[in-house]
Amino acid sequence: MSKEKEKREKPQYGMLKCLRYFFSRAAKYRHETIVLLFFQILFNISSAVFGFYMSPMILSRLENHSTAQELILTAAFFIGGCFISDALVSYIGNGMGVLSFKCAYQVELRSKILQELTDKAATTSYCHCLDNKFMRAGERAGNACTSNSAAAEGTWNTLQNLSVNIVMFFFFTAMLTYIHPLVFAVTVVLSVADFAISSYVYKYNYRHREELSHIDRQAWYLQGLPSQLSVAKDIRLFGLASWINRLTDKAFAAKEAYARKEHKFYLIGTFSSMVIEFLRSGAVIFILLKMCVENGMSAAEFMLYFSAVNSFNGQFSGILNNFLDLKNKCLDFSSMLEFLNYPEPFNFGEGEKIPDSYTYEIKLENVSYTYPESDKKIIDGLNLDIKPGEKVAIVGLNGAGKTTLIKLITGLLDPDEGRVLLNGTDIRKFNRAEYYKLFSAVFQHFNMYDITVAETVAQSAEDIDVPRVRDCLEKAGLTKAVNDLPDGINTHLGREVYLDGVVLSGGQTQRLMLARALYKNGSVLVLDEPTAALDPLAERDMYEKYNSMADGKTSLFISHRLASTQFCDRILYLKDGRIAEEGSHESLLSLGGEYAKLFNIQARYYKKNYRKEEAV
Amino acid sequence: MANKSEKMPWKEAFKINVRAIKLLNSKNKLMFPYVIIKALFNTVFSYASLFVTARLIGELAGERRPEKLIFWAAFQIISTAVFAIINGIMYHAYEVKATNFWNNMNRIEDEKYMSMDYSDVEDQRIRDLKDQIWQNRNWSGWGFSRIQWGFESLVSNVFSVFGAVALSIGLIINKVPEGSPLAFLNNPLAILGFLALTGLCAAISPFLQNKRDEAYASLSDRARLGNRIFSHFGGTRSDPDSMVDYRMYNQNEGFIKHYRWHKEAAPWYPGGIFDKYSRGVGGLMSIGSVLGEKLIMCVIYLFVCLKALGGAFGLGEVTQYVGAVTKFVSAFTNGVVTLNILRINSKFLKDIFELLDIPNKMYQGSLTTEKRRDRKYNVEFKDVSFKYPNSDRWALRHVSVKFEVGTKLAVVGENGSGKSTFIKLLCRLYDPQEGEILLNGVNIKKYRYDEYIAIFSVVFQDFWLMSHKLGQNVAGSCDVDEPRAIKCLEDAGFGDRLKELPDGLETWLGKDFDEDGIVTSGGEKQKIAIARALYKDAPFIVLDEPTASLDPLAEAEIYKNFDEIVGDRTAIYISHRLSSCRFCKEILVFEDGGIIERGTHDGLIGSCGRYKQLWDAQAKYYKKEETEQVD
Repeated sequence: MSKEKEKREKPQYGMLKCLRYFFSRAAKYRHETIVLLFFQILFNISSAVFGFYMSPMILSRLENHSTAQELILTAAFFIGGCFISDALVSYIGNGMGVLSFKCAYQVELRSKILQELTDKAATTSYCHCLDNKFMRAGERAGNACTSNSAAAEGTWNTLQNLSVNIVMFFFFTAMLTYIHPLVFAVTVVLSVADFAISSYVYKYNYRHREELSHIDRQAWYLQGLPSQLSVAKDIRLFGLASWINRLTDKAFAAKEAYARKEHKFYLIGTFSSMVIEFLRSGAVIFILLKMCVENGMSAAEFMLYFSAVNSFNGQFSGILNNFLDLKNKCLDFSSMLEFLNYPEPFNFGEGEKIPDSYTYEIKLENVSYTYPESDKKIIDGLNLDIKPGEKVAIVGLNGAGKTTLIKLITGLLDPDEGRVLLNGTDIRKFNRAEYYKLFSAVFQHFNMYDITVAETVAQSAEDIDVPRVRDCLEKAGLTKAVNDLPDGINTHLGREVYLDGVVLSGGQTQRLMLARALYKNGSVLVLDEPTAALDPLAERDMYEKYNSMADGKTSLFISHRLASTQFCDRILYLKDGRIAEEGSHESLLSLGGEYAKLFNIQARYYKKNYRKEEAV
Repeated sequence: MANKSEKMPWKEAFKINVRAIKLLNSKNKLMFPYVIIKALFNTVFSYASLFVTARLIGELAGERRPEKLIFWAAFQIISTAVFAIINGIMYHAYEVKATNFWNNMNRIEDEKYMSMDYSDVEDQRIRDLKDQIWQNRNWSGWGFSRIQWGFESLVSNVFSVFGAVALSIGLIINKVPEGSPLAFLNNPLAILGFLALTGLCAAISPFLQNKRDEAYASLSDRARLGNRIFSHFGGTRSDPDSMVDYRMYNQNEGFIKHYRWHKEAAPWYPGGIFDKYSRGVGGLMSIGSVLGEKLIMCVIYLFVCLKALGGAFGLGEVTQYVGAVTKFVSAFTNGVVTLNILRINSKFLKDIFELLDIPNKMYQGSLTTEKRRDRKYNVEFKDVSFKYPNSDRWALRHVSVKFEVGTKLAVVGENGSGKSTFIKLLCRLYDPQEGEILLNGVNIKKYRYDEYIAIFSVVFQDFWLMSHKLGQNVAGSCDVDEPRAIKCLEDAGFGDRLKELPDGLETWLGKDFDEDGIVTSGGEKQKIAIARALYKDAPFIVLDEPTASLDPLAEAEIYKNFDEIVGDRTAIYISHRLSSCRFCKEILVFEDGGIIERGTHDGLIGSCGRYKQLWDAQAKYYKKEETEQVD
């Protein structure tokens, strides 16, 4: 079914629009790429023409018994012409090697295009991350920027080859027609046949792409596993090496079996090409020989025309192959344009001005939300009014909708029904990027980079307020740990980029993320399970500092540790997308509902009469 | 890690390449012999074709006898067809042989990583070495991958040189008839001059190309930082979690762009080191090497044509000699260039072998552990101290502790106090620098490594499950004892979910390889990992923070089942949630790499030490309730 779907899915943007996009980016960022393309085409053509005539012309001088001087002049002319063209081609840089000066421009342009994609991804309405169509377009667009041969750079090479092929095609067509119309006819017919058969045969992988990608992914998945620390530990403790080896053997054997089938099939292509080549050169040689014998054509001419026939075939399949290649690359550009022009449901325009205030009231009116590809309302008709400066705790079992609720409040998601209001205004009216500035948030997962500690806290590479960084590290309880690092707050984190980087423990990372939130100093503090990796003392430390961290601001706190919710003004117990119970810790306990039950489950281990309870 | 700008001596380079070829050939059976046969056919074909074409041209330029013309033309066409088939078959057979070449390159490293000491796996210097090997391979193609290309290029160029010599002997032997003004070309001095001039010009191109290849190797070595920066900051992380931080902290504008367009990150952009080189010296050298090629053509054409002009041979031979000498020069050039690249590549091979040659220090024991039905294995730490490699800090200092068989032990302490290190030493992922660890009174180093490790089942915090079938994950093997696997899953609390699965143990975890695979929550994964530990049925079971990501109900479930899970095994439970200490018989409190307290919960609370402090920090929120309720 998915196969049919893919067939029916037409690219949104045609080739012309795609190429226009590519050239417009080139003109905007690196117009040199276009100029160099033009020169490369020119020099390549002149090199091809000189090269084509060189040998037959020299031979014809010999055949005509010219003088040594004439011979030398002819050779010098053609070899010289070849030299100048080739020298220019190789100086500018042919193909896709890194060591050429056109490559520098092309790589930078590719990087600029990738930057456009990143900018879109980093700002697009967050709900798009859950939209498969958007993500697929983004993935394809991103892949089109990953290597020298991918669309964002390789297109230069394709365009160059295609242009040279087209010019040379006309050149050889003229020549073949001049020799004998029959030569031209035979060559064209057989070239078309050859192309048709080979393009069917060599699309074997395309026709079996699902099987192939399944086989490939299984082999790739197993590669590099044993060097991952978590895997390495389990391999040793559970003796998994022989299991992994057997699975790897199987995966490799599957790849080889596939390759055997594939290449057996390709032999059809080899055979058909052989037959066509046999017919083509057979026919052409005999026509040419006939002309030699009957019309007195010279040996040099024979050579010239014979190689013209061979070259014509190359140009012809070159045009078709390069055109297909260009078409494929345009599919990538089409995904790029689709991604970049994806309509934004969130407001990124002017928007209403967000009222200036120290704290804010946040109100949810009858809010419902369902994740795409799910039929369960994760938030279902929820009403909530958070007063300015109120400290709210959100508790509930896994899957109750706690994190989703936070995402609705912070404007990462928009509700399907109902409204989220900030001081009475629907947040959809504000510029969303401005709205995000209101929140100092620590979610359960972080997007960390290998930058310095100070940069991580400030989330900026420039204009870092160092005293404030230190202050936030202190509040997050990291001062000592950071001072122990080789370069203090200027130490790089992670080892992916800088070899002198350090890897922080889970607890330290969590605190660093807290420091980052404090540095941002938003008007609403949001903490999602901030103590999961902390030891008891650090956890207590955090609770005790919570009031001073919130500092009279509105705050939201998610936790599995029910005890931690006691310092909040109000606790919301979430169940099935609604607020099942709410109130202060005491009132919820005396209510004796689900919150109380859950609390007691956790609390019994901390009570003195634990053993007795267990016995019951 | 080898310095890439110094050259390796030829002899050493030869040895290391032979070693690499042997290794690669053992993984990719017969691949290298196939390369040789393929190259041989290719060479024979291309020279045969040259020879036949020359005969045809010769006949055309000469007498033009129809039967000769037809003979040579037919010969040409038929031989081309036959060779095309043979070459095609050889090519496809070789491609099949080479299918897994790239995968096998990775596998050689993976196999090493499975067998080397765990301490080396974790050693940052070795990880850096591995990253470097990886980067050189994927970003510039250095390492094993160059050998496939290099070997093939070398073999076909050597064949080509022989073929060319065979077809161009006539050029020297055939003499210009005496009396011709060009008879001086017969003079041995003229021949010598021709050969010398060819040799001289032939040297220009490889010499310059070698310089460029060397520059490329050293530039790409210098570019690795830029590559790392680009691959780290350049792409888009599109998972929903990263997308949150992009927005909440404006990361793209804040610092990502800054790093991405940083000067160091751009060795390939205009003005970067590659660009500067290719505009200047590098570009001139590539022009120079084109010049070299064309000069040779001049020399060849001149000598061959003048001899022909003098009457030494006909037009057919001219085609043959020009073709052969041209091929000779290009084969010679490419051969020399290939050799030099292989020599440069040897430095990169050296890095790979440095990794592969890391010795095992842990597998020296020979004692077998006795298989005891009563699980009476006594483990004792005697004054154990340990530092991680490349660190000056003692992660553990003077730790002495003896485990009682069948006891349930809780390990608590602050982050970084040495709890995890303690576990790593216990199950011999590391060996201590001082003191010793004894099993039934014998130093554990004296046991066979696999036998010792067999007595431990550990569920690490960052345990790993494969995207594969549930049953195989529990068994850690392709052969699954199904009743046992089901029982272990039930004991671990996964029974209810298992009953819902139509494919049972054959169900795939994750949707990577099977659309019907199941997506499991953190709690469920934990249960599967525990089931795997139970399946191993080792006398010791260690659980490291198993409830950190679970909600209170799921946590309570693990607590409740703990006794059943553990049975009569010796159990060690590490957690930040001190509630877990209540169902453990004994508690070890770690601080700064040492055990500072040890005892029962009640005893430690009574002694008012570190444990009580930790306990109170967590319990006070719950206890307050208790006292209120009591009131």
